[in-house]
Amino acid sequence: MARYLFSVVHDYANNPPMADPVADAEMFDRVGAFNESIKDQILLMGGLYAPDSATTCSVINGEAIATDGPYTESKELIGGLWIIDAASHDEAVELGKRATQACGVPVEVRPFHEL
Amino acid sequence: MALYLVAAQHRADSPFNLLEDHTQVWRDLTDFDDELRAAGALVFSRGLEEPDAAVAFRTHADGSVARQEGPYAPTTLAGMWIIDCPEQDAERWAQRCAAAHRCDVELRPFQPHVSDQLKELP
Repeated sequence: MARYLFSVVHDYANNPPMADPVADAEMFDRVGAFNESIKDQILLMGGLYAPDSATTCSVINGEAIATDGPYTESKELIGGLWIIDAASHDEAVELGKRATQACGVPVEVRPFHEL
Repeated sequence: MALYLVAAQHRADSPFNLLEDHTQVWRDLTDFDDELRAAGALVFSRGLEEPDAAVAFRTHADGSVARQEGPYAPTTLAGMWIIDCPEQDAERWAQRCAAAHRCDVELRPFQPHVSDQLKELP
């Protein structure tokens, strides 16, 4: 069993989330069905507030300084995530594909370190 | 209480990447996790495998999905914490994390319904 991060990628400039109530309702139905189908493998899933809610902390001369705003200026950023346990890499990738189809935006599947 | 993502970002010139010996960093991060745990704030903490280990799925307008080996886009994300704490404490934890890890971290709140899905993590 290995643990994976599924990052949901949102294009906040051109296709921001929660902009279309009808499409969003359909998306939540699909995601809900996907979650239900693998509920024993989901450790956590959730949506993040928009990138402008972020705070970036940088270390300068050993001291951490906080500044408002996201870490990168990229238009495409993580907008939510799943943390999932999968029996194999192949299973994780297959679930990542299903997650992408459910949420309708790109999903990246990346393994966590084993403890 | 609210859930926050604390994302560790390893740009090439971060103090972490300039260190040859990371022994003290791992010690400090263990202490950081212990402090989070003692405060009841630790939900999850784990480092990620290298970005090359990722597989990304891109979506097309016709509804099709294309597989891509590697990360969706170049990334400096190296690991993450998920913490549960009062809003006024979140930035302090993120600063502590950045100092312990010797790298930049991004703090971002989850939308509230996440806790409905939350399970107790091992």
